[in-house]
Amino acid sequence: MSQQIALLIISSILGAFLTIFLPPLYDGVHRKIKARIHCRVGPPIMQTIYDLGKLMVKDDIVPEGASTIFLYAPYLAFSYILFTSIMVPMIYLRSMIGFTCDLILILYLLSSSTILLALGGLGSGNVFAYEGARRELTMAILTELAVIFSLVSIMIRCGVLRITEIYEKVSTTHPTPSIIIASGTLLACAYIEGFRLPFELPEAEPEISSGIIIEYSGRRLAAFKLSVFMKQFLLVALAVNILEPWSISNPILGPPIFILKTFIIYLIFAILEPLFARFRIQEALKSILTLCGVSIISLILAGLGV
Amino acid sequence: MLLITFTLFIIASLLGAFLPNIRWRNRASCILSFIASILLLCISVEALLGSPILQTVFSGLMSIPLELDRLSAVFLLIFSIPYTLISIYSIKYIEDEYVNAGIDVRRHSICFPILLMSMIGVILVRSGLWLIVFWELMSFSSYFLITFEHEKREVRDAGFVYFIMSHIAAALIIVTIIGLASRTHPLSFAYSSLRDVYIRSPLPVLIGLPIIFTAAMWIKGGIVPLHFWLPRAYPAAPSNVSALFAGVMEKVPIFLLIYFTFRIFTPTILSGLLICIPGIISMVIGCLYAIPQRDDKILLAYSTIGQIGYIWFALGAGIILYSYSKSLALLAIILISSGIFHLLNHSLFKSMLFMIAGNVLVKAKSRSMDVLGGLGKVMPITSMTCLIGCLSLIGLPPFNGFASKWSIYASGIASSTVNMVSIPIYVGVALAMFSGTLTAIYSLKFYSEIFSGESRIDVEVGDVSPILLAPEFILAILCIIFGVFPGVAFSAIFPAIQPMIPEVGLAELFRGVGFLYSILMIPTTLPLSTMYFILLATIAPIIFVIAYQLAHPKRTRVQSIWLGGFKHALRDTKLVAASFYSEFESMLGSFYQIRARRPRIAYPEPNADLVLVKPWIWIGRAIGEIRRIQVGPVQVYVAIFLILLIIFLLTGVIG
Repeated sequence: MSQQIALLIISSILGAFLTIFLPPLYDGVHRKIKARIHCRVGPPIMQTIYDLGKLMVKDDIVPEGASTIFLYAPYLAFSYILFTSIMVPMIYLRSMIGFTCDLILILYLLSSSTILLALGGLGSGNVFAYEGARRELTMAILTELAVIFSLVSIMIRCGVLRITEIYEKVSTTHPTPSIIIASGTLLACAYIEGFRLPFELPEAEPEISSGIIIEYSGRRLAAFKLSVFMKQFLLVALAVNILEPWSISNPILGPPIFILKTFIIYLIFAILEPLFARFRIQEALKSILTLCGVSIISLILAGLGV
Repeated sequence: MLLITFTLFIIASLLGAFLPNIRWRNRASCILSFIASILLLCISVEALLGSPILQTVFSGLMSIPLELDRLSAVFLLIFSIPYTLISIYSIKYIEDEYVNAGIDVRRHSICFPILLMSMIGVILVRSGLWLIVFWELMSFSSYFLITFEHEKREVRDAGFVYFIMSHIAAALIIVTIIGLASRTHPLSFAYSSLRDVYIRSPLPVLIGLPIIFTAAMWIKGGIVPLHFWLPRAYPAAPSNVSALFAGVMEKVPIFLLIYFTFRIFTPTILSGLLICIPGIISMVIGCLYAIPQRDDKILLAYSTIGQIGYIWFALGAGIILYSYSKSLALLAIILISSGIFHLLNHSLFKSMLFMIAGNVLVKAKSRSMDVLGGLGKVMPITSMTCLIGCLSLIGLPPFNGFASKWSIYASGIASSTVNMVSIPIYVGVALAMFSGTLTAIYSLKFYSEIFSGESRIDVEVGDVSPILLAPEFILAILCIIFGVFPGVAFSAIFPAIQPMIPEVGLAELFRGVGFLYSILMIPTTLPLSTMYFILLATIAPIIFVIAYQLAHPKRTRVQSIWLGGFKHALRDTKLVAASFYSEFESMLGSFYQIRARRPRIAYPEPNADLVLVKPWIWIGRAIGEIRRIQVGPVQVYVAIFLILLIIFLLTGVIG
C-alpha cells in the first residue's frame, strides 16, 4: 500500500516536472525544424529554455495604471496549470489526485487559466493588448466548445467518469471511431491553444506588435509563456494517452514511451506550422467552428455507442 | 404566524399609500416589509426543522387553504433571504435615486409589499382559484413597479410588453385550472380534487393540460423563445425591483412546475422534455446574448435567462429519468435537488449583482459599460462584493455556483450510461459546460468594464452609503458559506423532494446522500475528500503567488504604456465594450444579431472548408428566420396564443 502511494507521488511529481521542462524543449525543436524548412540554420535546441531562464532573472517593467489582475494573472495561471498537471495521469495510470468526475475540474482549471491570461492582457490598459485579448477570448469560446464536446463524448463512450478509469477502459477495448475522432479534435485544439501560426492571432507580432503580451516583461513574461506551453502540453498528454493507452499501465516503460508519443505529436505540429500564413480572425473562427462540428459528430457517434 | 406576515404586508402597502410625508411613506413600507420578511425567515426555518403547517383562512367556497410543506418551506427560505436584504436596500436606494430628486414614490411603496405578499401566496395556496388571484396580484404589482419611471418611452413599452405576456401566461393558467375544475363534482378548486379529476380525464386532456401549463411557465420564467419581455422589463425597473425579479420572481414558475408536475399531473417523459429542452436552449442563448451587451442591467437580464436555463435543464432531466424508469429515482432526486440548489445560489448572487448595478447607478449615474470604468478605486467594497458575485456566477471553486453546477454536471454525466433517453441529458451537460465558459467571459467583462481600467466619467471618491452596501456584503458571505458547505443546503433540499419521489425511502435517501458525496466529495486514491482537493486547487495557487512575491524583492520599474511611440491619454485609446466580440457576432450572422446591422466588408470565402462550414451558415440563417417573430409586434404572439386557446377549447368541447 505504501509502495503504491510512493509510486503515485513519484509519478505525479515526475509528470509535473515533465510538464514544466518538456514543452520548452519541444519548442526549441520546433524552432529548429521551422528554421530548417525556411533554409535557415536556426537557434540551438535549448534556446527556449535559455530564453525563459534569462527572463526569470530580469527586472520587471510594469505599465502605469495597470490593474492588480495584470500583476498576478500570469502567476495564477501558471500555478493553476501546475496543479492540473498533478491531476492528469501522464506516465502512470493513476495520479496523486483523482476522484469521480475529475475531468470536469481539469477542464475548469484549464479554461480559467486561459481566461486569466486574457484578463491579464485586458488589465494592462494597452490598446494592442486589448485587441489581442479580445481575439484570444473570441477564439477561446469556440475552442472550449470543441474541447468540451470531445471530452464529454469520450466520457459517454467509455461510460465512466474518472480519468484513470477512462484510460483503463480504452486500453481494454478496441479504439472506436468516436474516441479516435474526439482525441484528434483534442489534438487540433491543443494546436490552436498554443498560439501556433495560422491561429497566432492574439500575439500577431507584425500586426498588433505582440498583442496580448506587449506590456509583459521579465518574470511575468516567463510565467505567461510557460503557462501557454504547459496548457498545450497537457491537452496533448490527455489526447495521446487516450489514443495509445497500453503503455501507461507499465511504470518502467511508461515514461520513455510517453515522451516518444508527445515528441511525435510535436514533430507533426512543427512540420505543420511553416505551411500556413496567419488567418484573419473570421477565417480562424470558421476553422474552429468546423472543428466544433467534428466534435459534435463524435458526440453523436458516442451516443450511438460506436 | 403566516396571517401576521400577510397582514403586515397589507399594512405596509396602506401606509405607503396614505402617509402624508413622502420620505416616511417609503420608509414605512420598506421597514414593515423587512419585519414581515424576517418573520417569514423564522417561519420557514421552523417548518424545515419541525412539522409542516396546514391551515385554512376563511371558510366556504372562498376559503384559502394554505399549506407549508417541506417543498414550500425550502422555497419560502430561498425567497425570504433576498426579501429581507432587498427591503433594507430599497429604503436607501429609493431615497437616493428618487425621493431626493423630488419624485413621488407612492407607486413603489404601494406595490412593493403587495408583490412580496403575492409571491409568497403563490407558493403557499393549495387552491386553483386563489392561485389565479395571487398570480394576478403578482402580475399587476410587478407591472406597476416596472413602469415606475413611466415618463420614459422605453419603460412604457417594456411595461406594455410585460403586461401582455404576463397575462397570456395568466390566461393559460386559468385555462388549466378551469379545464380541471369544471369536471369536479361538486365544484371545487382544491388541488387534491383537481388531481382526482386529472387522473380520470381522457387522453387529450392528459397530454394537453400539462403542455398548456408548461407554456405558461415558459412565458413567466423567461424561457427562450418567449424570453423577449425579460431583457426589456428588468432594466426598465428600478434596480432594487430588478434584484427582486431576478432573485425571486423567476423562481415562482419553477415551484409551480415541480408542484404541478408531481402533485397534480403525472410526471412523464414528455413533460420532462418540455422542461429540459427549452432549458438547454435558454442556457446557451441567454449566455451568448449576454456577451455583447453594452448596458450592464441588460447583460444581467440575459445572464438570468441563461442561469434559469440550468435550473430548468436539471429539473427536466430529473423528471425524464424518473418517468423513464423508477429504478433511476435516486439519480432523479439528485438532479432535481441540484437544480434547486442552483436556484438558491442564483437567487443569492443575481440579486446581489443587480444591487451592485444599482450602487453603480447611484454613484456614476450611468448603466452603459462603454462609459463606465475604473470604479474599483472609487468604490472598493462594491468592487470586492462584485468580484465575489461574478466568481460565484462563473462557478469557480470555493464559491456556491461551483457546488451546484458541479453536481448538475456530475449527476447528468452519471446518467449517460442509461439509455437512448439520456441523449438530451448528456448533450445538455456538454452545452452546460460550454455555457459555463460563456458565463465566465461575460461576467468578467461585466466586472472589468465597470471596475477596472480607466474611467471616462468623473466621479468623486467614496463608496455609497453602508445601507446600500450591507445587503451585498451579507449575500457575499452567504455565497462563500454555501460554497464551502454545500451539504447544509442539500440536507434541507433532499427531504423536500423525497415526498414527490417516494420510490426512494428516507433511509435509502441517506445512503443516496452518500452517493452524492461519492460524486461530490469522495476520494479514491488518497484518503482526502474531493472538496478538499477543490479547495486546494483554488488556495494553493494563491499561496504560491504570495510566497513567490515574498521570496523575490520587488525589482519593478513603472513606465508609461507603449502606444507605438505616440502620446495619448489612456481614456482616449480605450476600446469600447461594444467592440468586444464583434467578429463572433458577425460570423454567427442573423442568428446572433442584437443590434442594427452594420455595413459589412465582403471577404472572399476560404475555399478549403466550403463543405464543412457552409451548412453551419445555412443553419444559422434558417434559425435567424425565427428571429422575425421575436422582433415583430406583440400582436403576433397574442394571435398565436388565441389560436392555441381556441384549439384547446375545441378539443375540450369535442372530448
